[in-house]
Amino acid sequence: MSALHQSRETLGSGAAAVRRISLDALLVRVLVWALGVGSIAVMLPSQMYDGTYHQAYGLSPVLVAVVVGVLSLLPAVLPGSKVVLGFQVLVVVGWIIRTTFLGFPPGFLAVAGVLVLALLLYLHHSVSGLAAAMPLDARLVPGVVRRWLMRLAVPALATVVVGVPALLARSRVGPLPTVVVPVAGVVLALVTAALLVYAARTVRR
Amino acid sequence: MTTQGGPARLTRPGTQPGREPESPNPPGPGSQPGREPEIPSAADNAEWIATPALTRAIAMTLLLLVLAVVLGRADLAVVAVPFVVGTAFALHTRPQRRYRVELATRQPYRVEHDELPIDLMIDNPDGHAYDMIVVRRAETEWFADSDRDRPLAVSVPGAEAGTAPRTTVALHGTTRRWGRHTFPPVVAMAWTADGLLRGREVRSEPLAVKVFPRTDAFEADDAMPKAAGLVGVHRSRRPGDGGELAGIRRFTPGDRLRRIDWRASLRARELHVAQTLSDRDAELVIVLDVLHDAATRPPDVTTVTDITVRAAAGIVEHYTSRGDRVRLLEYGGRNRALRAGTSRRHHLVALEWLLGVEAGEGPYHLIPGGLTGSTGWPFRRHVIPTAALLIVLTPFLDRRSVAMLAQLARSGRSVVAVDTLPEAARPATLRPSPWSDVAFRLWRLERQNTIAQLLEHGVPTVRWAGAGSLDQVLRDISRIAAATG
Repeated sequence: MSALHQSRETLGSGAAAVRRISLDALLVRVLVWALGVGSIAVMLPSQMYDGTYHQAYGLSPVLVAVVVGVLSLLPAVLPGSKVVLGFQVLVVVGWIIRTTFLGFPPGFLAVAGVLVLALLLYLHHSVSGLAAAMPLDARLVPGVVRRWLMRLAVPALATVVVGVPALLARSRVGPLPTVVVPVAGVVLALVTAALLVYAARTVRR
Repeated sequence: MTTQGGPARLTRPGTQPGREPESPNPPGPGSQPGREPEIPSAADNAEWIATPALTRAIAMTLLLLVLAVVLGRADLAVVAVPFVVGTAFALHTRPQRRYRVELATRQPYRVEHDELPIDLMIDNPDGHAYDMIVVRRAETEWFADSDRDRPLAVSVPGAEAGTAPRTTVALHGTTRRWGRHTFPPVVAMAWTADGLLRGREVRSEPLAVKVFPRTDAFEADDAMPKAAGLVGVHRSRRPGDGGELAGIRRFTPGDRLRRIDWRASLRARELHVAQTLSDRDAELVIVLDVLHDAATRPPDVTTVTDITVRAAAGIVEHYTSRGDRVRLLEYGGRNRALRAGTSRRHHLVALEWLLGVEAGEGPYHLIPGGLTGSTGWPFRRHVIPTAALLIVLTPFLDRRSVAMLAQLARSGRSVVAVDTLPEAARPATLRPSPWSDVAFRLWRLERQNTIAQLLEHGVPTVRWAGAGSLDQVLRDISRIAAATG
């Protein structure tokens, strides 16, 4: 009797919590999910979609789509956890494996692929932050999401401005001297370290 | 819900804060003391806490750059660019000054079931915008709005030179129940730098709101049974100088000449005078029996106290507008009393007094031997004039109430009892048994018996039904009073 009553109460409170979910918060989570799907879609090779791997390894496009959809659901459900970081690391590792073994897409697609991946990953990271900050039952005053997304224009523009010349120069020059990349990497790492110091100086961790 | 934003001038601490002419929704008279945006001090500095998003951004940047260096991959460095630029830009443009949250209403005095607009105002003295401020509020029983206790997510723009923008979110709801209410303080939490940083909680002041009872329409056409003075609007039962014609009678020595009815005198060939009834005022004492409360079941919860207060408000409005003096007494609750008074001002004072009515019996007002006491008088400190009409609003839930009614009637006063128990009120049984309904019906029968016994003692009882509720009993009481004279 009491167990039945307890389970009924649990079900009732669960249903009430689901009813409280606002459309605004749900749409933001859907956006996180869509950006996750987009990131993995760019990362995966085209052979996954055209059925080549279906014949070779039994990976049907439908199965791939389901796996991608479910995998992208995790950051959307837990946007404030380390799952988002894990998801993004997975995408980066997948991108490295794909480009190492299958190479880059031909021509300008290679540049576009890298830029789109960079933007999608950053958008996914930022919108996950928004979803984590917003309670599931929150009502959004118009302009919050628009304002949030408008702020992403700066890093997006910087990516295009820095990325296109860098990638084009890389493809024209061909294999770069091995010293160029480490030097650029060290410079960027120094910038990152400075950023860390700047953040740690004023922000309570 | 609407949002508005507008600039507000900065003022120095210590200067006289003036009303902001640019402010779209200036706080009303019932709002908490308005806090104008001031030049912030060091204590107003915002304190930020890193969120998992900041950790993620830095981790991704480091990972991508390390992999780019180790593997010699320029594409990974490009993927890291938005993380580096975005994080740096976001941290650089974070607000340094703490925002303020304030609640205000333009209409602090409302009536039950009226719309009550409450403005949630957020002042941002910093030059940078707050990406999102989530405002939470506790659910209140007396304020009904479509959002209930849902958190609100608001973005607040940054200040321009010399101004601090005020973002106003209007919460529209309706008042459910009368009383002195407090809109609970809202708790705000801010996110900035694209969600990389989270602020500390900022709490507003609570907002006091008075909700007056919706007055039940009440009209009573009949005269008061006993008059208390020689001026007023009621025709008395006694002849005297007044405007109401009582009849024609023969002239007797002492009659005023201007009272002679010449037409009747000519017809009768003998002097006749027109006799009038004197005009009197009256005193009314309303006793509110709030020893116990009972309520109907949700969703339309109506309590004994609700009916008592609404009925009292209606009766007070009616009689004060007619120039009668009305006194209010609480039987139970805090045993308060409101002095007799008349006019519109007294009506407003009575409404304020009614807001403080609470059911129950406190420990400090009990007279030894119960409220009726061994002294024989139910109201220890209060003297009720003999000529006053007593209207006792009671649910007949306590024997002491019945004893009080009988005692008042025995003292020779005109007493009317108004039944305030809601028709649909049922006892709150946690575990209903087959006998619950029978027991309840028996109790109702016993209660009807009591009411009938009271009638035998000269206390008529009527159920409160608004306009015309008391007409019949007032007429009966007036007749009895005139006969006993």
